[in-house]
Amino acid sequence: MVDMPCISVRELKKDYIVNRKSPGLASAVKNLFSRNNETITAVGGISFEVEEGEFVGFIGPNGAGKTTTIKMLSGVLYPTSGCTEVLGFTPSNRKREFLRQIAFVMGNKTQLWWDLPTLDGIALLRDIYEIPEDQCRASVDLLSDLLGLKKLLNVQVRKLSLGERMKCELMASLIHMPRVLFLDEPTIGLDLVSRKAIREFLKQYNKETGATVILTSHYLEDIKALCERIVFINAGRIVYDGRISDLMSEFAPEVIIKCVFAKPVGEEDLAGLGQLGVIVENSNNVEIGLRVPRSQGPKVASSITSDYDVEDLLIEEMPLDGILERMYVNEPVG
Amino acid sequence: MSTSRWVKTLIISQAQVSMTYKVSFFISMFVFIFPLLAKIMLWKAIYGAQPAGTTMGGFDMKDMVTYYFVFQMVFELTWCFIDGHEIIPAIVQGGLTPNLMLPVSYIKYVVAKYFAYMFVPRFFTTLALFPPLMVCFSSDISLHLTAASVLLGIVSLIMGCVFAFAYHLCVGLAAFWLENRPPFSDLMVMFLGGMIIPIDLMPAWLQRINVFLPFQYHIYLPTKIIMGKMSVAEALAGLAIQALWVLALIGGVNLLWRRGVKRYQAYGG
Repeated sequence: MVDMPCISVRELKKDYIVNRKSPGLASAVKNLFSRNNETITAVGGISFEVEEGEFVGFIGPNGAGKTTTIKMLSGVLYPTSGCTEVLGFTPSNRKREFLRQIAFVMGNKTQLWWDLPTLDGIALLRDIYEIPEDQCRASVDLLSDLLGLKKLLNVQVRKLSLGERMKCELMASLIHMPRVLFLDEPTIGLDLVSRKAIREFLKQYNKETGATVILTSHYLEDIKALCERIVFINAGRIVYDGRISDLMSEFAPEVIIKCVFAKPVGEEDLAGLGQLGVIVENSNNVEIGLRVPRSQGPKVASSITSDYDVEDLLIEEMPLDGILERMYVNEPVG
Repeated sequence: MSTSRWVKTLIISQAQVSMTYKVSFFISMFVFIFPLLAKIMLWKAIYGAQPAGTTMGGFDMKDMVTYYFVFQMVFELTWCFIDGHEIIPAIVQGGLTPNLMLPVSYIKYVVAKYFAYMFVPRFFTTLALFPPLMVCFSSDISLHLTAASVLLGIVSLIMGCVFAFAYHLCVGLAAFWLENRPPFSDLMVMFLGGMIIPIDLMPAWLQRINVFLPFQYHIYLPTKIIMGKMSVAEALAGLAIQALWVLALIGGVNLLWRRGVKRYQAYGG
């Protein structure tokens, strides 16, 4: 049997029809008779594959199409065109067998019952997913331990803080042990400690169960800590799909060589360094940063160490945030 | 088997939620009394200005007061707010998304939830409120229940309930297209369904049109049967047409759901 990818997406496209209306009453009246509808392409024909067990981060600016893509992968939205297969199912058919194997956690929506404690909400999910009672109890014990929720399970959901609710939400989404987990900004609005707890938990879940996880987040630490692979979406298209480390070499073709000299270098030496690369920082002619093409990095570094009296030398990548920031606004990087 | 299990848990969960808000719920149950009393006073004034023994559309004064009482009771027992309460906000504001992730039918889910939340409490409060209220007005009411009127009335009431659920599900699901409540959806049931004035008092041409519309099979038919204003043969014919409308509406719910969910936009992040 040929190994099928867990998720396979080909030329996936989603258009929305949006009604444009200028502000004001006059335009509202005009809009009654002639509507100014416009088709907006949220996702413009993207293709990718995800293998079972992968942890993939979807990143991109607001309105890039990340959430729309996840909603199509989970069967919430019907695509305008294109093909999607998740675990061998077409998500939009929303077959029971498919829905039982996936979960979709949204940072701003709840599937727990607002007026009831988490445990009551979970009892309903247990019966909906047909999970045997002892198995459910074991999952709840395990998950509530990992997330530190033991004391909160009997509290009405609406009385929980945002972070506590999100953890309960995660737990509720996982009691049926989904093989594919979609997370749409699960750490939105959370403090550092809660974000870290959720990150640790997700890492462990992915490692222990071998579940495939797709995550969108605007927090770069989340992405860096969890995802080996990122899919960068901008204006409905995939701009980059690969490992975070490869992103550097592709989108940051230069590195920074940071040198600390034993004594301040003279003007002549400074001019000599300027020949090797672009001086991007200089602190008292002792600490100097030099931007050079990635391929030249090691060569330039060794020539500096042999020609100058160097105390310390470091080859640094350009910061990821900086690269992404420039990708967000479509600027050439490097 | 498994369906009944989660539906049972859902109903129990929702019953717990209803209990959280019982005060506002019970207060809302009494609100109907004011318009009901207003209608009764209005009709008593109208009949009072006529010579004694006047009938309108086959109703004398006592029949008219009885009509509004029984109609209101059937309304309380069968009316369904599932569209405005659950479905329209879910579709328009995106609250449907978490439900779409569950491996069970949304329609079943939402009906079970509503049933426990609104229907069951309303059912018991109505049965507790109306008999004493009707005793208070016994001198204005003439209700002679027979075995046939009670039995056929209950059958019609149950079908009226299913009718109401199916009708309001259709109205709610229309939000996939309209992003709102269809205009006049409640007004049609109230006016053409005989809530404002009995259908018997409407102009003949409107009554002729109304025969082909579903609205009178929701509250009006059970009301007329319970009042004993229909012969057994008429009642049975009415029940048969009511059953056909119920089936048509259930078909409508299925069709609207299957087509509509493809248009779902999952707004709100």
